[in-house]
Amino acid sequence: MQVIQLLVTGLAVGSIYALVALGFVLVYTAVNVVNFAQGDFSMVAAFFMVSLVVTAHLPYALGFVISVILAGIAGYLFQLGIYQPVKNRPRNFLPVMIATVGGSIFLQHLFLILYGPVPLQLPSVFKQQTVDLGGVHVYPQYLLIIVVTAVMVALLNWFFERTKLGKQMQATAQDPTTARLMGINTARMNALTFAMSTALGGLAGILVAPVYMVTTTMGSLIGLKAFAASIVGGFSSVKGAIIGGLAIGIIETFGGTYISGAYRDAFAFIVLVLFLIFRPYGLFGEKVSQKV
Amino acid sequence: MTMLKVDHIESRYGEVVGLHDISLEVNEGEIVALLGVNGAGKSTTLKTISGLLHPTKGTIEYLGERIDRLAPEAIVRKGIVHVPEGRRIFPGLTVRENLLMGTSNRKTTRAEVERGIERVLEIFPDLKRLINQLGWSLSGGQQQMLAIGRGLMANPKILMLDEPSLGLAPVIVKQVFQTIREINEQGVTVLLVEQNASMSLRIAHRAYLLETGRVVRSDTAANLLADDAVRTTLLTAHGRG
Repeated sequence: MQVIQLLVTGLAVGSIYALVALGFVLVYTAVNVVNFAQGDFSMVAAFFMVSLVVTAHLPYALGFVISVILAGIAGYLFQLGIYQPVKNRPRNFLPVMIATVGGSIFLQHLFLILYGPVPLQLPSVFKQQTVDLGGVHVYPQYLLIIVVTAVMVALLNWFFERTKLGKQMQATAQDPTTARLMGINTARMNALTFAMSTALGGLAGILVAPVYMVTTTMGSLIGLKAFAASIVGGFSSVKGAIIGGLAIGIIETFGGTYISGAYRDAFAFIVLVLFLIFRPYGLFGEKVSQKV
Repeated sequence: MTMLKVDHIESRYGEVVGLHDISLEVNEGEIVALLGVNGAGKSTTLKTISGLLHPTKGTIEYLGERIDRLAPEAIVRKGIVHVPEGRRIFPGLTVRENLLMGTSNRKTTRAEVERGIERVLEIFPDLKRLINQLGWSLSGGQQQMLAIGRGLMANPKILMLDEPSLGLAPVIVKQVFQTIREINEQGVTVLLVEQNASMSLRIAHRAYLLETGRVVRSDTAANLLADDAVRTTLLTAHGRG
């Protein structure tokens, strides 16, 4: 029984990492940079959610949707103010990366000024503490996380496989110059990629907020673990981000229970180091574009 | 009627001058060839017309309107479609999806896209059985057909082809040139950049000879094909005569 409980917990925690890791991967495949502020958008959305639902008493679902959209808008502004100005620098990979680290620090301190240092609490939408699934007691919030993530992944898959816009975003990521020759507005595609990835991060932040506390640094640890998940998955693969995220979530939950609770947070990074040594390209790291 | 008028343009890659002084005209219904050896400025000319580069001197007019300051995505919306050198198929998209991307220069209905794909498959029947394969898995010849097909999906008024025969087997090269002629006969004006001068002159109406970023000669294809001096400089220079 405990194994199933832990598995549900691991999948839920892993879903959070998977959502944030998807954000990393989308931006990386589109513009070839790692957005080190990716995790902070989880924090940004969680604070928006507290303001809307706890302070302004908006209905939970409405606050949820608005917060995710606001996280997307924040991501759009982020790329406008942080990515665009440095993207054409020579060896742009380095200036962009440093700019996103700066952006991360800026966001954390901005929200420290806005909301103060005291951790805030976002209640779960569910009243009861646990639900009984045939003798297994699980937190309903964990089930919500898993279900919402699954729906989100299905939606993303539909978007990228079935819509022209989704294909245009992929085309832009694969060959921006040719995409422009086709008439695709690549700057708009990249802005959309940033907005989508930060909205995904925001979604993760709102889902996980009732489990932890809402603090200005909550995004850092989520971001780092999602980063590890992305590397495990191969960093350029959507499938890899999801499987990497779930794997890290399950490993740290089981490791934290059976090996050492104190080192719970270390397991993700142990896995990361092992992967960097033995399989640096991750599980699905074979890039299609390198074959051509 | 003159569709495209390139007037004394100079183009640079940073500090390096790629084009010194290029003037040319393309009339409706023509196939115009730009010929010359490697580095003569043929591809740079196409890149400047399609907006990937902006000329540092001179002007480019399309139907009497200046286009030399427009971005590539704005120029392709006007119907000037550049099929770049090296085919540049989107490797991770299928053949069908690559063709769909060709319609990105305008709003399309599903039916319109299907009609376009059907038309391309009529011209390139070989693509039919590859329709759901990923771009990277195609052979060079298949990729070239897809690249031209993708260009046609944009409903071009002027189709600019950069080295469509490069790296293809001789049999395929013949097919590609045959197809270019057919496309032209369907009413598409073609601006063709090629190293294979003899084949190009056989399908072109007129041609411009480029050398180190300048136009050194322009004439009808028939005259150039008959000219011994042209034969020696162009046709034998790279052993394809």
